[in-house]
Formats: sequence, structure tokens, C-alpha cells
Amino acid sequence: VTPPRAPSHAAASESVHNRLVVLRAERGLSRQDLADALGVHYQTVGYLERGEYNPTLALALRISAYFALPVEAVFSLHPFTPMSAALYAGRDEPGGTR
Amino acid sequence: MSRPDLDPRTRKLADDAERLQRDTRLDAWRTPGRRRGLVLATLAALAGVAALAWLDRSVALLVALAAVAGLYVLLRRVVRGMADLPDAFVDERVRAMRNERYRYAYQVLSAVVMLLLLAGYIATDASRLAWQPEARHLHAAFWAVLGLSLALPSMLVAWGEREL
Repeated sequence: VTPPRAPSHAAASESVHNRLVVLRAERGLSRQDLADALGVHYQTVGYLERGEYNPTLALALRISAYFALPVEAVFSLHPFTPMSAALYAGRDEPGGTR
Repeated sequence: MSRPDLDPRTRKLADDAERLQRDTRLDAWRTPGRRRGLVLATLAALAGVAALAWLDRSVALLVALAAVAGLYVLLRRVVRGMADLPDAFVDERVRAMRNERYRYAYQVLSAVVMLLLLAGYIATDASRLAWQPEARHLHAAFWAVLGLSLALPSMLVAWGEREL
């Protein structure tokens, strides 16, 4: 089976979505903490979080390894479902307890 | 970041680069408005240097050169050396950003040099124009091109970056 081919302009215009803001907040890290751990400038973390810069594969893998998550849990070509919606998907009563 | 694997000279360069990139003392100069003001001031000072060289005012030229040097040092620190630090000391985003700025700088500088060469070429044909370039005119062109080639990448970083 031949995989579908992306249009030639895809690489330039495609944005990569990520969960860096949520992951950093969950762990109580500042941008500087994360930047120091990754060996990048702290503003680069801001650019990544806002989706204004797409990381290279090497940096994406370093970030995933830092959070001990598979790369597809941190980065995606499609927008992520909000974490709350993902957690409570399928429940009839979102406020209920088990 | 400690870099125990580097030789002392490279480690010092790396430490200096890191200090420059973490600098907060010049944050007041890093607002977009002030950065653009600094770029315009540097351009005006460069134009002043070229004009004074053209008019052959040696003493005033030295003062203007000192002003350009001071503005360039300030501009370079405001942009955290992003335009000229070695690749090893900046991250991949900064490398990508400055590659783009260098492309624009190359285009602008090429256009300026081509215009100067064209003007010189036309001017040397005395049958078309009763004006011959003198040493002072070449002097003015030299300072303009030298100043632009040094400062243009930092100017473009200062002008175009959202955050510094």
C-alpha cells in the first residue's frame, strides 16, 4: 500500500501541536527549568509552547524523553483533545464519583 | 550549564555566551519599540558616517565612527549576540531564525553594493556625467558597506523578533 503523499508545501506550512504547556504545569516547572534540562534558550520553550516554532526530531525526542512519554503523546500533527475531555470521555455524569 | 568536557578557552567563550543570553540588565532596551528605535539610530549613525566621509570631515568622522561602534555594541547585547555567536553556543531555534535573517541581510547588502558599483560605473564615464568619484567618495562607500555588513544581521534580529 502506497502511503498518501503530502503536498509539496506541507513541510513549510504544517504546524506541529504539542502538550508542553500542560506537561510543564503538571510538573510545576518554569520555562527556565525546562530550558536548562533540554539545553535550549528559555524563550525557545515559549516559542514551542505557542506553536511558533516546530522542533527538530532530535529536540522533540529529547523533550519526550524528559517527560518519559512517547513522542506522539507530546507532539501531534492534529490538535490534541483537551485533557479534561480525554479523561472524562464516555462518562454520563462528569461530576460523579466511582 | 556546566561543560566540564571543554578546554578552558572554549569554556570561557561558552560561559560568556551563556551570560549574554541570560542577561536581564538590558531588558528595558528589549521592548519592540526601543529595539526598532535602536536600529533606526544605528542606521542614522551609519548614514552620518558615510556623509562625513563624503564631505571629508575627518574629526567629525571619528566621532561618528565611535557613535556607530557604541550603538553596535549596545545592539549586539540587546539581541543577546544571537546574530553572531558560534553555532555551538545557540540552540536550534536561534540558528534557524538567524539563517533567515542572514538571507535577508545578504539580499540587502548585495543590493547596496550593486547600486554603489553601478553608480561608480556610470560616474567614471565622463562623457555621460561631468563628475568623477574621488578617494573621499570611495571612503564613504567603504564605511557604509563595512558598517552594514557588520550590523545588518543584528539589526534584522532586533527589528523582527517578537521576544528577545
